[in-house]
Amino acid sequence: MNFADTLKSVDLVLSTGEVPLIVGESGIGKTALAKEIAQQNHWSLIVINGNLLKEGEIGGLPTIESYVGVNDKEAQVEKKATVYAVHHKLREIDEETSQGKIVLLFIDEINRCEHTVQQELMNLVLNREINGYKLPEGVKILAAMNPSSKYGSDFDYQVVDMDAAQENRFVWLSMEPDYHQWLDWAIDAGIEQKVIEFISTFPDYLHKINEDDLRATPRSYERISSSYKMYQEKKSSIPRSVFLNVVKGNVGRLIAEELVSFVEADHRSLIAYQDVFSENSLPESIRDKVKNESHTRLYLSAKNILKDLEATILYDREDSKFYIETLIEFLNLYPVDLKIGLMKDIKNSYPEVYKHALENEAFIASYFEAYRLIRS
Amino acid sequence: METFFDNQVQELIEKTDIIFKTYLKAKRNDAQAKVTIPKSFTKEFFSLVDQVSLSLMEDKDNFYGYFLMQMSREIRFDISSPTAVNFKGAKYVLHFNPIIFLNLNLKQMESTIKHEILHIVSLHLIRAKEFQADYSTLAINMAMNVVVNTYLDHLPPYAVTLEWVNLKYSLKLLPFKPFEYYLEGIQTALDLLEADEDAADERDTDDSDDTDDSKDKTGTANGGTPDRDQDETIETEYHPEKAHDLWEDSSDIDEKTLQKFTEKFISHAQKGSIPNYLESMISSLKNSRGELPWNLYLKKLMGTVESHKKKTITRRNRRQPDRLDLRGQLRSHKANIVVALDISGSISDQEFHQAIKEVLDIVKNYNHELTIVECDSEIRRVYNVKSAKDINDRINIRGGTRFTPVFEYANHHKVNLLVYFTDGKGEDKLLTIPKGYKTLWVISGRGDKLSLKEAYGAVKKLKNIVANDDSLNINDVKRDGFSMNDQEGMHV
Repeated sequence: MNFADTLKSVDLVLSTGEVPLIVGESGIGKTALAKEIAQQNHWSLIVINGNLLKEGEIGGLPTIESYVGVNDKEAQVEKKATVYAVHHKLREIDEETSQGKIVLLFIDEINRCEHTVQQELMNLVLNREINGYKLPEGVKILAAMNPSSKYGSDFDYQVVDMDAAQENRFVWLSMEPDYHQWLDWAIDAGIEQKVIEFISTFPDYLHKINEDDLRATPRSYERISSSYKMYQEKKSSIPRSVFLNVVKGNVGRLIAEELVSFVEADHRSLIAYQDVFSENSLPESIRDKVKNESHTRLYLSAKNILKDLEATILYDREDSKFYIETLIEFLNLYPVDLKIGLMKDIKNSYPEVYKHALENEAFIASYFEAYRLIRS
Repeated sequence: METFFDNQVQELIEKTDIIFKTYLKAKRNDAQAKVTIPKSFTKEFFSLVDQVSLSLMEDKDNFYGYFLMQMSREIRFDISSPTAVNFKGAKYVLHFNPIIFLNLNLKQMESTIKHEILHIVSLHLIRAKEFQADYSTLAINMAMNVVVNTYLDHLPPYAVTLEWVNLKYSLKLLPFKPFEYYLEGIQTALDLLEADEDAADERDTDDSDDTDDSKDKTGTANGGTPDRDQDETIETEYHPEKAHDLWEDSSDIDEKTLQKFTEKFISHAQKGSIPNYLESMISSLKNSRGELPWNLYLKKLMGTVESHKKKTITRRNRRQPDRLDLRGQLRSHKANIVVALDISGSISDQEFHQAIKEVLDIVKNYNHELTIVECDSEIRRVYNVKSAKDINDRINIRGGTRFTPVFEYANHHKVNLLVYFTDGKGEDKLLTIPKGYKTLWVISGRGDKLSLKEAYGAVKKLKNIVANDDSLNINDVKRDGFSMNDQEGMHV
């Protein structure tokens, strides 16, 4: 699920009084989502980080309190009872609710704490009570965690898996980054133009797991954007290699090289899906654009377009004829080897587009036409 | 019959000629003149290259086609081979010298592009650097070309092939050997020739031996015979020792990153089936890096393994927080580790001993208990180990493999961590689901993957210790000369 879908799901689950659990890789915006949802609804957000808690902390330390009870001879006697100190986060909740506010309690990193801490947190989630402290009515709970090996990802996070009973308490929502939404967000958030263009050229790099290297996450691009801003301002004093190293430290070697040379190359943005399909026919301006692009960039942009087209056709079968025809017209502008390469790609990786393309005679004709060039 | 393609080549040759002549004319007036390449020429030339690339899109060659698509292309008249590569701006760049390139036919054009891509895939750009100090450039270049050209058909007539090298330097080098092997052979031959040459030079300096090309050309590079090297910015013929000069011109990038880029290019180009020789090249490239070793995972896991409590003064007693004389408790990490060994599998004793030593090294900092469980279709023996010398020799009952008994054992023995050494061939579903501990599968080098559909843990491969098998295989038998045919599997 992308950000927007997850947000809506969380909203729905919260409104039924259940506890949503967002599962997603680090850096894709789980905390941002909690903030967003609190802000939208004018709730106060209180965050508990599971990984910071030690056993017994959220439950509070016990002390003895004496009280006056009655014994069997009806005489007053002093009795003792254990009471537990209240964790400061829980106290914060009390303070907020006493002002009549609704609180969103965001329990982060719920699988990166010790098993015992998990048990305590579970008490909060399940019984809304811990060692005598009761969560007020107006508190909504949202939990989040990283995926663990148990659910398919590799061993990279030091997580403590929950047991089946704990798992059952939550409504599981798995969250993935979506570059379209990230781009929209990035423009609003004032991310550097070059960084935005880079992601729209290489959407796959927004969230990329590099083997034995750093992972690239949406969060890393936020950081890159600010160092790029600095680098531009102080270009005279910051050498390229320093900037490259900083970028490497954010997204790993490979993407760093790619990004820095992208920034230097001063590319215009790629031909995008909207450029090709926004009008009733293929816009004339595309023709010139294709002529002036390099092979590699044309290939990239076609792949990005195909990815979007595959999704569009899946939703909108009615108009498929228009899409395919425009696509063929577009591909016919391409150098012949790229065209064939992309047609083969369509066959292998874009089943929906391929299914509709096969019904189109121009597509088939264009394929065979290409080979006539090298065969007599 | 003339094809459209041939006509186009003809036209381009004429145009190249014009460019060449205009340049020479300009040069006479102005020594600093540069080659001017008209835009229309570039466009036409590359549209021709597109067609070559299209022809590479077919069947098993499509690896090269897709690889080429990711490369930038440039025209350069100053390279002494039809094509050359280097790495610039996060991309491999393929350079063409139209003068030499256009004299090839379609198949040869394909081959020269394949040739460059094979250099990349075999990481020659990186490997050449290692040898530069000790070997001559000519030897390095020829050795690399021999390696690559062995896999190619339709080579241009001047290509450096194994036969050519063997003939020219009276060598008896064998086909399909690594680059280093050829390098050694060729360098020795060159050294011998040079010694002869020196002796000859002492007798008569002018009567230089024309068989030794290398001598001749190193001479020209230092400003020697003018007729050969009349022009440095335009090369019209093939020079083996300059063929890879452009590699020097790559952008400054560390080897590891370059290798990563190469891997990325390769993975994007790998679609459908590829020729066997390419497949083995690619797999050797990937093996050279190796994946995150299993012992690193074990280290990571150890941090999360937990068990008993230990007394501490950093915390108060939870029950009596006001009594400072009572000590609090902290969780300590005593690991109860079970190492399961699949004795039916093909893990050699050495491999296992080595692995256990590593396990012991990793866990020695923790308070641990290490139990070895030997198991095939049922548990055969269980014993505790304190150090490497406690490891018993394996008993030799070799039946089928079942994983379930080990998990049953682990479920009943309060295990924190289970490391399972196996060749991976067992049942496809566990009858007992592991409870309360983590599992790390270590698959022996010979096995490929775990037969279980759900592994309940990380699956890692033991580092490949290649067992050398020198026995002759039917596929090794040459059937059809040194051509591509003997690279393909036999269809019998």
